[in-house]
Amino acid sequence: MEQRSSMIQLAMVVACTIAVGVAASLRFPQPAALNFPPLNELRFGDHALMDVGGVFLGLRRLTADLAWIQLLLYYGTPEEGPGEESGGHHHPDPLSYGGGRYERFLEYCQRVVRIDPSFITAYLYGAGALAWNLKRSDEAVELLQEGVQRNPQAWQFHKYLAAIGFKQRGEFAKVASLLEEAIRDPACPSMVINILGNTYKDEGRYPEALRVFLELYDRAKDPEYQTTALKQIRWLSERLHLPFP
Amino acid sequence: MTAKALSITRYTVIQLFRNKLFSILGIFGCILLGASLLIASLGGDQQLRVLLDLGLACLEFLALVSGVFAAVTLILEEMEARTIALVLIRPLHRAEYLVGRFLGLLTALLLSMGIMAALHLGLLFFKGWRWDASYLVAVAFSAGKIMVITSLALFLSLFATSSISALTLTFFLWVLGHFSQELKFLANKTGYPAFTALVKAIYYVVPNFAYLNLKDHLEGTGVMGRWLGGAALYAVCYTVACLTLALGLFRRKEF
Repeated sequence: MEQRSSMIQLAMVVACTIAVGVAASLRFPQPAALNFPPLNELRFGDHALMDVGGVFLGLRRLTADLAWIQLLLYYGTPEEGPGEESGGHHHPDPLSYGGGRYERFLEYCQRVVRIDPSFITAYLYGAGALAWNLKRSDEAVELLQEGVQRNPQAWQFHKYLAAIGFKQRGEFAKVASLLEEAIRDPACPSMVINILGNTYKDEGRYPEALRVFLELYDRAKDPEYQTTALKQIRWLSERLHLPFP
Repeated sequence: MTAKALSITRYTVIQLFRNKLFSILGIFGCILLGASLLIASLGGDQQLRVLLDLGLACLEFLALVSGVFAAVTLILEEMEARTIALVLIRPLHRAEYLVGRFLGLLTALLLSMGIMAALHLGLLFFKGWRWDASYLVAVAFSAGKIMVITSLALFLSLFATSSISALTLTFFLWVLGHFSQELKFLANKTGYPAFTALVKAIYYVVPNFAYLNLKDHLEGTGVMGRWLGGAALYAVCYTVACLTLALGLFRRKEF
C-alpha cells in the first residue's frame, strides 16, 4: 500500500516537472523578450547595492522609481557655481529652469532606464533636459536612441529625435510643431511642456507661450512646475497687457 | 477535497489570524502603504507610478515574510510540541492534514493580500489613478509567487533540520528565483560545459519567479498577455510538485 502511494507521488512529481518544462519551452518568452538588459549593462554609479538588491528581489520597477527620485533630487539640487570659492552657489534665473552643467545627468538617466527599460517618461524627461536645458543634444540623442532600441513601439522617441535635429539646424517652426504634437500625449513630461513654452517665449511669440504655460499649470502634478508656470503666466500677462488669469 | 481537510483549513485560517506576528505584519503593511504617499510625493510627475509600484512591492513583501514564517512553523511547531499526534490519531490521512494546513495558510495569505490591495487601490484612486486591469493581474501573479514559495517553504521545513535553516534556504531560493534569467545568461556565456550544465540544472530546478513577476511588466501588457496561461500553469505545477514531495517526507515522519 505504502509502495503504491510512493509510486503515485513520484508519478505526480514527474508529471508536474514535465508540465513545467513544456510550459517553459512553449509559452514563456526568452530573456530578450523580457526586455531587460543583462546585469553588465546596468549603470550602478554609487548605488550598486540598492540596484542589484532591487533586481534580485524582483523589484525592478520600484528600484527604477527610486533611481528616478534620485535623478530628480540630483537635477533639483543647485550646482556649485562660479562663486563656490567664496562659499557661494550658482542661482539660476527664476524664470529659466534646469540650466547648468550637471555632468552626471546622462549617467543618472541611463541608470533609471536600464533598470526598467519600459520607463518611457524617464527617456523623454532626460532627453528634454539634455537637449534644451543643458544644451547637450548629442547625449539626448544617445538616450533617445537607446529608448528606440528597447521600445520600438514607442512613437514619441522619433518625434523628440526630429525636434532635436530641427533645433540644431535652427528651424524653430518645425521644432515647435513637433513639440506641440508631443505635448498632446498624456504621458508627456511637464518639462517638455515647459520647454515648448520657453521656446515660444524666446521667439517672442508670447500668446502661444501663455497658452502653453496655462496648460502646464493645469497639467503639472509637481508643485515646482506649477510655481514656474505661474511666474511665467504673470510675466507674459504683463507683456501682453492682459489681466492675470 | 474532503470535509476533514476543509476543517483543517478553517482551523488554520483562524489560528493564523489570531497569531500576533501575522497581525503585526498586517498592521505594519497598512502603515507602510500610508507612508508610501510621502515617498511618492518625491516622484515629480510620476507620483502615481511610484505609489503603484511601492504599494505592489509592500503587498508582496509582507505576504512573503508572513507566508514563509508561517509555512516554516506550520507543521514543524506542532511536531515539536507533539500536538500533531493528537490530530493524527484520529481517522485522518496525512495528505488531508498537509493539504488542509497548506490551503488554510494560502487562504489567510490571500485574504490579507486582498485587504492590503483594497487599501492600496483606495490610496491610488484618492490620488487620481485610472483603473487598469493589469493591476489585478499583477496582484494575482504576486499571489502565485507567494503560493509557490510557501509550498517550497513547507517542503523545506520538513526536509531541513531546523526552522532557521528552512527559512534561510527559502529566502535564498526566493532571490535565486528572481535571478534566473541572469543565471541562464551566465550559463550561455561561460565556456565550461560542466559549469554550463550545472547552472542550467539550477535554472530549471529553482522556481523561476521572473515568469510570475508581472508587476515589473505593468506597461508592457503585450508582453504580459503572451505568457499568462503558461505562468499560471507553472505556478500550480510547481506548487503541486512541492506539496507532493512534502507529503512524501511527512509520511515518513514518526510521532
